[in-house]
Amino acid sequence: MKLKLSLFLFILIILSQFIAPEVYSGIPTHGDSLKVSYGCSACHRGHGRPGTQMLRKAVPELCYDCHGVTQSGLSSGATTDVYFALKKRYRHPVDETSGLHRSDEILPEKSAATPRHVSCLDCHAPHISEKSEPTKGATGQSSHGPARRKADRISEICYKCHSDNANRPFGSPDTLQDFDTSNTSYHPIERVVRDRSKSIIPAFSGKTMECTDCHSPHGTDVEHMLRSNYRTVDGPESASSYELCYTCHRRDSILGDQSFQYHKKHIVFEGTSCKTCHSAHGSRNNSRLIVFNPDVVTRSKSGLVQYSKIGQEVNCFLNCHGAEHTGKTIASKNTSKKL
Amino acid sequence: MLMLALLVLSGYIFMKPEVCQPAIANTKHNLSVTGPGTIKATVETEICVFCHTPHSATTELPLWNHALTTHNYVPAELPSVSTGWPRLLSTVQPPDKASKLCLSCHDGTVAIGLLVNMPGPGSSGSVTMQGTAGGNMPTTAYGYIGTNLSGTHPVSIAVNDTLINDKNLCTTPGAYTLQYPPAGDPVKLKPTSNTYKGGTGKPVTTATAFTYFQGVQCTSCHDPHLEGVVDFLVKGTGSPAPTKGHPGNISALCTSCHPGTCP
Repeated sequence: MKLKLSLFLFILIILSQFIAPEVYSGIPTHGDSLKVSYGCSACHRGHGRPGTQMLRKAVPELCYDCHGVTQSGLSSGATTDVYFALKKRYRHPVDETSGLHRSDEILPEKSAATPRHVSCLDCHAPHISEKSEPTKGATGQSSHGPARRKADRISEICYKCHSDNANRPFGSPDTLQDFDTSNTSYHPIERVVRDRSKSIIPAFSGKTMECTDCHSPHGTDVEHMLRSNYRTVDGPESASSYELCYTCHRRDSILGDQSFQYHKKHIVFEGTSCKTCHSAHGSRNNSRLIVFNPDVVTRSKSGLVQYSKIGQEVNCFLNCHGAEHTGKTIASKNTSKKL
Repeated sequence: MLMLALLVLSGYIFMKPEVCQPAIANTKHNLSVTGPGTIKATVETEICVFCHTPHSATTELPLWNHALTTHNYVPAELPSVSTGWPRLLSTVQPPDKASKLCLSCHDGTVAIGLLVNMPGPGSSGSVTMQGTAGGNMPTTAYGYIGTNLSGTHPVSIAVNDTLINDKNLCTTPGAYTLQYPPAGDPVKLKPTSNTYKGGTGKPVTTATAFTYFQGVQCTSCHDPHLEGVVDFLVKGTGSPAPTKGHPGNISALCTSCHPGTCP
């Protein structure tokens, strides 16, 4: 009897997860009459523009009215101006593809024939969002299972389009795979990693990251919508050339060879880009996010492009601009070395 | 006694215009020559006749006298999944009852003066109008809606428990839900014959035992006889106050059915 009752309760609890609507606390900024005095009419009309959700304009022009200080000439400072960012060279193309957004769409896309799109409404839920949490209420794709209604984290919003989408372009990374915790190494989006680089600024050590720590999703002047400079081709090192990496990884530590004995030799003397040896997302087989850039690194005479690290022993088998790496054992500082 | 009679008489004289003058006379829906709007008759002085007649009316309630729109609203013109509406509204059906009556002028397909029973003894015909486009509502008119309803609030949609349940599980959960307008609220559900997912609107039995199936119609939010603050709205005088061309803060109108669950 007790078993039956507890079974019934268990089923009830499981079911309630699917039935209970999400309940949000706090005042959504757009619903706060002190901030948006026109209430519903700020965006909606009973007889709105055809094809819209009773909106007085189509998205994104509607959003720019308040969130485009540059465009509207407003200077209240009360809103975030995204108009300028969304016009930058590397951006999410909301101007071009917002019209393809459907409010009932379920992402990731299942059909390769569906054109890719991005709308303000893919990442923002204007009825729920708050100034302190602009993506609050947006839906997301979780790494822990099927598509979820509500994203717990920003990365889950990104996964909706940048993971196993049927219409993801060739060469565009499956980020859910990149950050998978079964990879040998990965930037800590999904969870904190224990095997951390010695170069990390202590304040960031042992923390998880968000995609938006490196990418600015509205748009920037740096390729891949990166927040700051990251030169991906070989060339002279400076504080600004790898500004993005140096945000978290101390330049003095890296160039001081604290994490890898030959960092300075590679980066400063040979002018090697971080990207030549490292992936910014994750590495399936190698520790230390090692993924060699095939544009620079080619096979060794023995036909290998291989990195191995056993204990503190690092071995590379590859050819880089004619320089053969034949597995000479090199090691991190303060450990035995047999060169 | 004489004084009392005079008092009653004077009261009658002063009160008469207010008692007898219907509120509609001062609105643009007074389509007689005395109306304040730009679209009105050239000579006709009757006000009610443009919509109602005591005799020979159409079968539409209440005693409808205006020629009805015959426009066949196709799915692309209705709020539906193809225009970005939530999935649950893919079942929106063409306007019926009150909304169809409104659209018989406001969709711009029927002559505004085209009546079933002309003023005075007679039959069907057309009252001569001014301010129209070939007799119809001009596309530039403030009240012109046209035949594409895809960006408008759905009308003639049956409201029942299934719809409310679906809506509350859909779109942006927990943000703005759907409810029946509270009793006594100026926003009211009106009769519709349309259905939602095969079910009629929730049946309503009035004091006179007349049963109808409720739904959203134009008349849920607009009272055609009463101008209100603006746009014939039944409710909604927030701050900033609505003005013509800009509804101002009319959130109170919306929240009758779509209460924000966030405080």
